[in-house]
Amino acid sequence: MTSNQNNAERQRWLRVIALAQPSQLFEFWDSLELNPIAEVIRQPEIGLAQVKAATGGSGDAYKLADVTITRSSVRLDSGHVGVCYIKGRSKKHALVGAILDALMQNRDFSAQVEKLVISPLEKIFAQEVAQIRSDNKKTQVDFFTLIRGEDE
Amino acid sequence: MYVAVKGGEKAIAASHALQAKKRRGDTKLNEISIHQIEQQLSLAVDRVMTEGGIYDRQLAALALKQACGDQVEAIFLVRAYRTTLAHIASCEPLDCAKMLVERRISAIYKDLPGGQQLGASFDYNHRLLDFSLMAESEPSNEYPIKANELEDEQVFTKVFSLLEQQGLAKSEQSREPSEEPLTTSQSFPYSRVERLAQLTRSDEGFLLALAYSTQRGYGRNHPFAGEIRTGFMELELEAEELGFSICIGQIQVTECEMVNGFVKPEQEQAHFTRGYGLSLGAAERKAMAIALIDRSLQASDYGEAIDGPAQDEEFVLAHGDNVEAAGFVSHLKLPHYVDFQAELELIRKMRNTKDTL
Repeated sequence: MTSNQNNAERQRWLRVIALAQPSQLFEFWDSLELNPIAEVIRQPEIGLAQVKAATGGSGDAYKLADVTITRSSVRLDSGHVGVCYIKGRSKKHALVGAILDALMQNRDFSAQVEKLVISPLEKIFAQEVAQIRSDNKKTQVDFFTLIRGEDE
Repeated sequence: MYVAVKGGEKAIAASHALQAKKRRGDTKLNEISIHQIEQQLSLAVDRVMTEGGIYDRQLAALALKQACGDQVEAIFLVRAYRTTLAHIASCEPLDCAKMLVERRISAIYKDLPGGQQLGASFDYNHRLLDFSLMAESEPSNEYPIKANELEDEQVFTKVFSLLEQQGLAKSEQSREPSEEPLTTSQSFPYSRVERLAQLTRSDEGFLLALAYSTQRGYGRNHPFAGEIRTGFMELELEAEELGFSICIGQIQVTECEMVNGFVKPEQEQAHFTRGYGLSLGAAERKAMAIALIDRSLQASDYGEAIDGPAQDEEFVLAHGDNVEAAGFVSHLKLPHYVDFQAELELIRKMRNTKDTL
């Protein structure tokens, strides 16, 4: 597998981990019943990330705001290094996320983690997105202009 | 001039304790939770996030609770908290063409790709008090969705891309290198992006009034709401350990793009001008006000006369920050005893010499 493919796969599960509701993530994590020996390389750290906007969406960038983020990284005894960056201030989310990232790189665990955590979380997120689309789609309007009687 | 005073510690502590008691209100009632504020007063949270400068719904809700609902005080609390955290990363600029759209409307095209979608809105509402909200109730969930009902992705084309394709508006292209530090310069004039950064944090009421003033003739803009959209954007950043960009979560934003009066530069075709506003959450009024002021502050770029307050960069940017403004107005509450004594003496002297007038 090329490194680009590897990166794309890793981007996929890191996205799923980041978009998960923390409580949901912990529930699936608990269901794994794994207790991997992990060395914490970076203790969960809360900080800010700059959120930029751009004029017209594509022009010059400017600073819109900051967002609170938490990051963490771990090394499993298998040597796999897991990294996690998430929006928000849940240290446990970042730590569990980093362990999951490391496990997903380990062929001994990846299938199990995919099946019990990543895939279900991905499905839940897709449902949330579908719910947002469907709720809002019901508010689609057809405005029509009225002719004000000038021309008979 | 105010002077430092000592003492009063006990009175101050008692005053804070009393404020805490007032915050709690009648203890026979349930205490409001941060989660309730975050969920049920979401637009108040959006404003505190936008003007406080941090996207964090929980922090904004906490600030609102602590400030007894005073928005400017809550914004101050969030700004103060912000200084305690280090900047550890930077996200890619948001391109709202990629938005998971909740609401998208255009006042210039009736039919457009993706359609007009109202989303959740107070528009078209009769502004009658709904007394049924006084009773506790569950929201009606009329639109349950089945998991297999996943819809095809709907594409909401950006309205300005339609205008750009026809050459009716100039496309916005990044001219400056993206590594450019996004700090604000200390002196006027500011660049457009520095202005936008500051307008985002500026007081909604102040910007709204200025935007309104342009409509009433103090620096005409000729605006049309080209497009307003609210929805979710995924945040991406390049993690230093990874070397590639990853999604870290999503935030809700509102974008307003105004189409403004056209110009006819020499050796160019006539084209419309544009104003841009982006706010956190569903702060639509704020996004519209930013877009109007963004355009009015471009007056000098188009050789327009500067005859309204909303076109005066220094006036707008130096007075728009409500934390600064509240601070300076509030300082009048500090002891000015010495200063006032001097005034008293002066006025007495004048009155004593009145007979000579």
